Amino acid sequence: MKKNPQPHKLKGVRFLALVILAYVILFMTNSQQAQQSLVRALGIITQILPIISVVVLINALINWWLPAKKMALLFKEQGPKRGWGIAVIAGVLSHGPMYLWYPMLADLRKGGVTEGIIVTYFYARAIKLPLLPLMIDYFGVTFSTILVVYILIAALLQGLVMQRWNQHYAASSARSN
Amino acid sequence: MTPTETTISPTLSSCLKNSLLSFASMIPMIIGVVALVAILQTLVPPEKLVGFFTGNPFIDTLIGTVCGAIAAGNPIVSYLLGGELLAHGVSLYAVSAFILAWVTLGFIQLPMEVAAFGARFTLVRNLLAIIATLTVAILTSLTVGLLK
Repeated sequence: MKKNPQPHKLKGVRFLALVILAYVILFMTNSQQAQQSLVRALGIITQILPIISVVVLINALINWWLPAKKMALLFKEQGPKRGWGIAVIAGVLSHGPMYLWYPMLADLRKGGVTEGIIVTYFYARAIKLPLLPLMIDYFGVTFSTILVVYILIAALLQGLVMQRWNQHYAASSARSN
Repeated sequence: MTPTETTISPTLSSCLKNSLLSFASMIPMIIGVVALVAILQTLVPPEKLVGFFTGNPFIDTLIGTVCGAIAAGNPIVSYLLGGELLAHGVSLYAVSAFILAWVTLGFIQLPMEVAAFGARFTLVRNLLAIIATLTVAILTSLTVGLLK
C-alpha cells in the first residue's frame, strides 16, 4: 500500500512569511508600534495555548472513538435506515476540510442515501465538538450552547426542506412526462 | 480482531499523536493570524473597525455572512478573528454570522462541490445554508440578548 507522502504538511507558511515581512517593515518605520503588536500577539497566544491543549485531546478522543473510516462504514450500513440521526452525529463528529468528504458523500448519494440526509450532515458539521472549549472561552457558555442548539435545528430543517423539494421536483417531472 | 477492524480502530496513543501532529501542522497559520490580529489591533483603531459595520442587525449579519463565506481555513482562525471583532464592539449578529458562514459556506470550495454533487444540488444546498446562517445568527443574537 502506498504511503501518504505528507499527511501533516505545514499549513500557512507563506502567509506567516508575509506577516513576518509586515512586522519587519513596521519595525523599520515605527518600532514602538511593532513592539506593541508583538506584546499583543504574545498575550493572545498565552491566552489560547491551554485551550488548544484541550482541543488536541478532544480531537484525539473523537478520532479514537469514531475514526473517519468507521464513520463512513456506519453511514453506508445505517444511512438509508437511520439517516437523520446518523447524519447529525456524523456531522458533529466529523473533522477535516469539507471537500475531503465529497467523494464518500457522492458515493453514498449514488448508493441511495437521500440528498436531505446529506444536506443535514453538511450543516451539522458547523458544530466543531473539539473546538467547543475555544468557542466557550471567546464567546461564553450561553452563546455557544444556544448556537449549537440552533445549528442542530437548522441542519434538520434544511434536510427536510431538501427532501420536500426533491419530492416536489420528482412529482412535477413525472407529471410533465 | 480482524485486519479490517485493526485498520479502522486506531489506538488512543496513535490518535493522540495524529491530533498533535495535525495541530502542529497548523502552527504557522495560527501564529500568522494571531500576529496579524495583533498588528491590526495596533494600527487600526477600534472605532474604524466598527465603522465597517452599520449597526443595523440585518445588514451586519449579511456583512458577517459574506466575509465568512469568502474566507477559508481552520475554524480556530474564525474564532480568533470573531473574538477580536466582538471585543472591539462589532455586534454579535455580525460575529455569529461570520463564524457560522466560515464553516458552513465556502465559495472557494464551490467548483469541487459542483463536480462531486452537480450544479442543482450545490445551488440548493448553498442557498439553504445561506438562509440558515442568516436565521441562526439573528436568532442566536436575539436569544443571547434576551437571556442577558
